[in-house]
Amino acid sequence: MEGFLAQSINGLALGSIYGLLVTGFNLLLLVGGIIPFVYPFVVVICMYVTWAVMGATGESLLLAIPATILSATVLTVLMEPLFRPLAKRKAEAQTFVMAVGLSMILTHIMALHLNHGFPVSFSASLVGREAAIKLGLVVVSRGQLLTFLGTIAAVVAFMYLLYRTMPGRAFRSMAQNPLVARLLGIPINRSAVASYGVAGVLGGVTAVFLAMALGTAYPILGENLALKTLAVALFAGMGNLRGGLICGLILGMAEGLATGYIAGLWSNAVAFGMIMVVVILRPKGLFGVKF
Amino acid sequence: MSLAFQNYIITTIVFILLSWGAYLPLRCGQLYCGIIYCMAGAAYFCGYTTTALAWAPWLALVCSPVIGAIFAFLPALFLKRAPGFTTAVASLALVFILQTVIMNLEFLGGKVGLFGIPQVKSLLPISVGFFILAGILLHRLDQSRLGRAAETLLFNRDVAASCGVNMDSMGVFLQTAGGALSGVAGAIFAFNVGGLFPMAFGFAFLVNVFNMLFIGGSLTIWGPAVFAPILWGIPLILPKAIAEFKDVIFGVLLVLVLILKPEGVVTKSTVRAVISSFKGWLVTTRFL
Amino acid sequence: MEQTKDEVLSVKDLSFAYGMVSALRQVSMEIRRGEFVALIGANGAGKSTFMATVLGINRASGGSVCFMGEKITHRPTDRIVASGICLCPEGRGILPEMNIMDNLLLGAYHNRSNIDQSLSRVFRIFPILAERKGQSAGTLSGGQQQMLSIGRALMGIPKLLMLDEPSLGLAPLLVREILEILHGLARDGQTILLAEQNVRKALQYASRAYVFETGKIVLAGPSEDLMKNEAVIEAYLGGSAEV
Repeated sequence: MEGFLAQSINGLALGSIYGLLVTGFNLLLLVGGIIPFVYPFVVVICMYVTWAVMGATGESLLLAIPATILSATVLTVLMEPLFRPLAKRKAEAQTFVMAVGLSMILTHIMALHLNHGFPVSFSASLVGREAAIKLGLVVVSRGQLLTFLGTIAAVVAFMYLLYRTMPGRAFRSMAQNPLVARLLGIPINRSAVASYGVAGVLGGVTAVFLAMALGTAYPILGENLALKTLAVALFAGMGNLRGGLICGLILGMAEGLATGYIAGLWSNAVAFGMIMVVVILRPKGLFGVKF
Repeated sequence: MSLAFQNYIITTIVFILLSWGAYLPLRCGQLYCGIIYCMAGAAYFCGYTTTALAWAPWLALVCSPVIGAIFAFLPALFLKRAPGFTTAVASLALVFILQTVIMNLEFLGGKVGLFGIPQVKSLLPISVGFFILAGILLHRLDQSRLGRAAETLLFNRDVAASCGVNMDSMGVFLQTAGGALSGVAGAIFAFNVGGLFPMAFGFAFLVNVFNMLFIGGSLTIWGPAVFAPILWGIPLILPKAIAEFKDVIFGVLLVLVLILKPEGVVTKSTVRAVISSFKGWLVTTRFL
Repeated sequence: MEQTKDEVLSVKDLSFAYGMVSALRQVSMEIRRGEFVALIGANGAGKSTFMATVLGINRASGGSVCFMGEKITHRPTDRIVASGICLCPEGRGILPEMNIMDNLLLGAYHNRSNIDQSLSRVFRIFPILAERKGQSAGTLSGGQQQMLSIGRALMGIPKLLMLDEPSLGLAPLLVREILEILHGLARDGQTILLAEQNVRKALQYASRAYVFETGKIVLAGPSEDLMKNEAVIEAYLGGSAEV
């Protein structure tokens, strides 16, 4: 029983990170009009930033976290002008191809130039394995607690931005009807860049939590995360924010439990199985394609 | 002919066949990653039958397009109507599912890999033969009613539907044909390298094919045919220091092409221009 | 470009073409403060294209547009809207997945300092919007959606309010109600430019009108004169002498 609970808690922490990843992904999808396959790669390369800053400043979290968030934001925003001509053409599949190309560049940098391609590990102060809460015999580590609470906070802040502020309303209008948004005088280009920025901030936060949860980063992680993010987004319904969050949690839980009970390699297949189920039975996703 | 040069030609042909396999579903707007799992399926088929079952290699080679087509057909029944992107992701998922399945099947070598595939002595002429055959078939297909129907689908689904083009069967047909081409590519690949790893049939392969197809030209069969040798040749002739950055260079090229000339470098008009100038040259040299 | 103090919108020889198609051909007009002007003409005559070109959605291929004394001809749309032109597009242009409140607030994107005031004004004019403000805009009827569209435009405190075919798809009673509201707004000083296929109704409420045909203005003048004009009667008012 404790094993089950421990796996569930692990899964919950992991799932909340997936949820955050999918949220950033969906934001870029909806407002940017692109398939941001490269987004998880940006997140992973910013995990390297966390590692580098912590290494250079003697494990200073205070410097590493803002540095990570800043680099994620800058990197994501830098990609906006590349995607813009394709988004204007509404060439969705082409944005996927471009994202794949960009992700290869990022993977190359990680595999050949960062730490000579070896995995990087994060110090114990970040990972936080000490116990924070004890529920009977089950221990929730500080890292897991922070991750879970932190992602909740990030999601709440994001939803507030999206539903209660003017820029958020502008984002939603662009996602629902770009022409009407333009008629209303919403500055389309500037808002698109802003949405990339928000996704970048979310990505930086995700990178920090990923570092906490996984304790390590390596070049292939980008590819793994990108495929899982895609799986969750498709399964929930592309662009469905709430669905994406829920399904991210489900995937995390499924993986957490699967690694405990099913042989390792098959647990990845869970994500891909989800995709196939969706495509065959409910092509619009579990919750439907909507905002 | 040096072994390295032979290898270069065979590898180029493998990639051209794969690109053509992706080119076909792209004619009706579907981005199809199934070329990888059809290739993997056929490659492992050839590997297994020639090692464990001691088949003659030529038999396996001949069966390879059929195997590839079978691997493509069943998913095609579900993917036929899917919009371009969903096809891409679903077929990508299948690539990884197949990878995982192979990794867990001991009789196919599992994670370690399948080795000892017999060498085929005349692999080079056989590959060239398949290449020419496929090229002719594709060329005829493009010029045929079927090909032009597919092309209308690419540009305007509604027009195509009103002209009586059956989108479903078109999708299934193109994906299956693409699978067959990939099957041949897989067989040639298997006999060329002699050993198969499941990890090879994944993302990296796909990215290379994308590069060739989208940089070379996705609207005509000449695009990948011209660019595959270039893209594979460049790393061989460039100094090692630059060749290391192959991925970055191709990635940048891909991004540039998508922004500036999304149809790719070689388009129908390019082909026509080349042909007419060639004809002009013929006239001046022959009949002057 | 010179403009008299009273002129809100001044258009000179405005042209727009896409490819080989000439959609607007040297259109000129002036709209003064507080006027209620109509653009009348058949479907496809160029009224919507004209409004879109003024707003900068279409890039003018010739001529100029002056708004409040400033040349806005090739300015980006968001700057034009920010300077005070609001459009209620054809088909209402509301966002059905958002609620009414959000739709209205979006109208105030460029005028955030007066949101509460603008909201209470809009709710006074259209009480139905206040009643259903939390509901999604897609649940509104056609007439209510038109009210939402106008309300949203008013949230921007526009110096020029443009409406494209507000009567489309609405029952005659509703059309009258909406036009009465517009009339009231004009009386309070709102400058209004109305594009309408319903020529009779448009000429009833607007003081002046321009007649569009195949992208050109073929006739212009006060509404009473146009209502008695034989060509107008022939083409748009049923062809009988009865008005």
